Amino acid sequence: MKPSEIVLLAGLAVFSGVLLWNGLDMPYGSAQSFGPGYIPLNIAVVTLVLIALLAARALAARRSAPPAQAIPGESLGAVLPVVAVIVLMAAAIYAMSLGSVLAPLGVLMVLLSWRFAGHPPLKSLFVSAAILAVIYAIFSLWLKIPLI
Amino acid sequence: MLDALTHLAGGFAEVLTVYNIVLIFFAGMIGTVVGALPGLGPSAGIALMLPLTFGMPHASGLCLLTGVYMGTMYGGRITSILINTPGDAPAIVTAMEGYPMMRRGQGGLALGLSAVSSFVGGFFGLLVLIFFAPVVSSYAIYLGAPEYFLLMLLGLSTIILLAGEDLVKALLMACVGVLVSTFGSDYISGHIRFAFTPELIEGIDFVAIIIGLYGLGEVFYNLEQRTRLDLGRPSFNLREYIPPASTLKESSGATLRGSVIGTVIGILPGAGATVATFLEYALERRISRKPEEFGNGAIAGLAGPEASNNASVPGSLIPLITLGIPGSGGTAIMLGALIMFGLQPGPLLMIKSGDVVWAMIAGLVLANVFLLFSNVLLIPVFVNLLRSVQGHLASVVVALCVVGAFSLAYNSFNIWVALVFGILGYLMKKCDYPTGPFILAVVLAPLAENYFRQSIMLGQGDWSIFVDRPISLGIIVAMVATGILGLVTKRFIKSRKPAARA
Amino acid sequence: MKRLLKTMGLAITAVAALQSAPLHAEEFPARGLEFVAGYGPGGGHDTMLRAMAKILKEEGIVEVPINVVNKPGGSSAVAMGYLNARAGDGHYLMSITSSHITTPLASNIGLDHTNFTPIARLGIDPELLVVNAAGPYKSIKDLLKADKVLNVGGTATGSIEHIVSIQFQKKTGKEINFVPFQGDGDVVAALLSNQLDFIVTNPGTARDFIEAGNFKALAISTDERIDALPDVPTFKEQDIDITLSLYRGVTAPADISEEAKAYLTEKMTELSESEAWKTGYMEPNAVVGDFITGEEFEAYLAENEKLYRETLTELGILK
Repeated sequence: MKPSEIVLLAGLAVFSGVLLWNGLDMPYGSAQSFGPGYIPLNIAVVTLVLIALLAARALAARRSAPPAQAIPGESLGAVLPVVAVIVLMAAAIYAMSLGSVLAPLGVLMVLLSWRFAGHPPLKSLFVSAAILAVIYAIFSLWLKIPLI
Repeated sequence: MLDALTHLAGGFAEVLTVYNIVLIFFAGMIGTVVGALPGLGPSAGIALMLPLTFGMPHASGLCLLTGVYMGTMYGGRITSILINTPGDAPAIVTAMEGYPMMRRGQGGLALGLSAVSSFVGGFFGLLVLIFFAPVVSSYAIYLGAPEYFLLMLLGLSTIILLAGEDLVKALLMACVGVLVSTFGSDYISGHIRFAFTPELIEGIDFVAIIIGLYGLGEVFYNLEQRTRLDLGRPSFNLREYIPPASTLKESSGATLRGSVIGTVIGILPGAGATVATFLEYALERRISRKPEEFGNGAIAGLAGPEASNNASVPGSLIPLITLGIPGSGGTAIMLGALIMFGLQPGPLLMIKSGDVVWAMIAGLVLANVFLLFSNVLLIPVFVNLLRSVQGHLASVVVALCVVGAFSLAYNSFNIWVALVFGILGYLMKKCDYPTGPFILAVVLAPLAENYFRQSIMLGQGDWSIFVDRPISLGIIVAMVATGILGLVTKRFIKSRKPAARA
Repeated sequence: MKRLLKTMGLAITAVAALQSAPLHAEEFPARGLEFVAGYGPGGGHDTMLRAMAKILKEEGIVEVPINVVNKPGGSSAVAMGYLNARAGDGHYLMSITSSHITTPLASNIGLDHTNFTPIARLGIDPELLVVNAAGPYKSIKDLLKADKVLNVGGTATGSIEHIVSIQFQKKTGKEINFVPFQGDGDVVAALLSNQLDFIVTNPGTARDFIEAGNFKALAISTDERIDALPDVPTFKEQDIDITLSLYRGVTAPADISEEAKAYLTEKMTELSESEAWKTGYMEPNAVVGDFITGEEFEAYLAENEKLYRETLTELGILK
């Protein structure tokens, strides 16, 4: 199993585990049919079983044939830009909750074009500003969505 | 029949003024642009245009709103195809086939072809609306919770078809989709499930999920792959945008089948349009002579579901104008608009204000024609816009996704939701987990759950309600029959199909 | 009773206005007003506030600009949080309906109606008991005589329709089976196709079907018959003691100044008396005018909360 698949399955396992735990508080059945806890509880269990099945299958496969040394797209170098962008986005969204949406978004866009798409800084700045202006005109001025 | 034509002629007489024609033309354009923005679909389009209609004559105001509604359905496919970000559930299938075409440099063709299918589908739906609206609505009310439950089950069964190579992975993603859909208030029991923050009381916004899963997920994946798009320089060569006769001929069967399925199933309220697009997609894949093309830009897989999608639009207006019952988010807002115009939506609407309604229907016919032309004309604009920013595509898509997610509830919560599902979408794509089963489960699972519980409650605890009702029994028989047939043919296809796509 | 309430409301307003009038009349509002809708554009809250803002301006009742903002999310929980963060500032007014009571009860948001300053109840949506006109039931008596458990439809478990149904069962002893639906439209369709024996719904939904002869309303949940449906008897007339209605009102942030409170109350009173409001909003939406303000409205909300709390506890939704 690839490291990224382990991350995915671990994340899903934690998610369904949390819902399973919280689903225990809700009625499992009702007078005539099933209650609000029925679906979350049962499906969470099925999800965990399926994850276990996939993990077991991967283990069995590894025992029979050891994995190749380097899987493309799994090296730290390949994943690093994605992780960096996700962290940057999280920071930008956090900044948005403080008031302005467009300012943090602008910074994020410039960084994406400049550092990740490899455009010169001035060009990145110019293109981002132009796109933001169009977005502002459409969403805020025309559709009156409170976007600042 | 003749009666309907007379009324329609009266409607045209009212609508065919220069003011109204210009209004309908621009309504379609506005709808296309709004629908093309991620996060803004028919509901938002109609709601945001509503204030403009106050003070207009009723017929003009309604034409504006329905024109915008129809336009958003045309517009929804643009972002699906160009940046893999569907605006609503029925447009997901469009992204599954249209986006691969765009990456091959056939974005213009995909947009042109889907515009034609949209037109044909919309035309079919309109015919039904004009001639059979009262008949359809008098039959549609006899479909109750048991029938809707079976319909949702039918939709969910296409998961098997969308599964790809690994059924375990598909089932896992479907289960995760069901879990995601359980968040929020449950009207059957009155409980609120998993409201870890107040924003979750109404559940996780579906549009935020697709913005993340498809839009942001694709951006992250391309960052890792260091994809460089090469779509060529902007050009206005019309041949690139208008599909050649051979392509139209190739897609004509799918378009017609899609139109029929869209009018039959798509007009059912709730998730009718979504179920119709997925069923039509499954059908095309099943009967295609080249099933390996599906997922990589199959023309039939694009044209058929897109026709279904638009065929459902006029259909969704049927319960609204005959009974005052809205079948979708967009028509619910139209209901509010009717009240604000002083019209009383309900069984008497056609009798008391028939002239206004027929004018609106005439407006829709006009809008559908205008939309075909304006959309074909707009395609070069959109494609060239994309070309001119292709080097900065990542930041453009991120910006549109962020702003679109913000517009759902005017706060940053949905942007967080989109980011989380963006990470999920990236990991799923990287590890080859199919998104189709996941998204289908998110849309249909809560409906199936609720209709099932409602059925049992209507039967006062007795399960026989599913076989006592003739329509319900009929659907069960049909489903079992297709299931058996499907198993037999699947064997056959498997033995015929060589090594499938990696 | 209705008239009495109205007079009392007016009296309270008049007293409040007198107290604040001399010195501070010009200090409030210091800037434009903001109307907060807890749901998105096009929804019931949004359309009410926009109609209100339009009429307040056009009739010259309010001179300062009015801005309607949408703070959707969490069945009005997000808007409640937004208004709570503006405590002490009277320039905000939020529309409220049943979710103002039920959302705090059913989830843990740390706010309830006491964290705000109730200004006015603008009107009520009564509940009707409606049967299919082609069906076997012509009166409440027929329903009570039916030899089976009656299937009753309404929106959502724990909703006002559900509470009316429960009370109907309690007060008449007739066993019913309540089936929740997602919206008014689904309930209507289910009654049209005879899947239900009767439904509980509001006049706005049923009115046209009654007029068209599809449905027949057997009872209404008000104290007296209403003008829009003069032929429909009240539950009380038929010896079933049910008086319950949904309300539509407005509330302001906590701790606002007396001037602000008096100003908002006065403006809402003027609005509710204007012809434009009656013909432009109340009638098209089938809302029954039953205007109360201030403390009376506060007491009404407290009573309403008690009712919901008891019912939801009985249903096992609240612990």
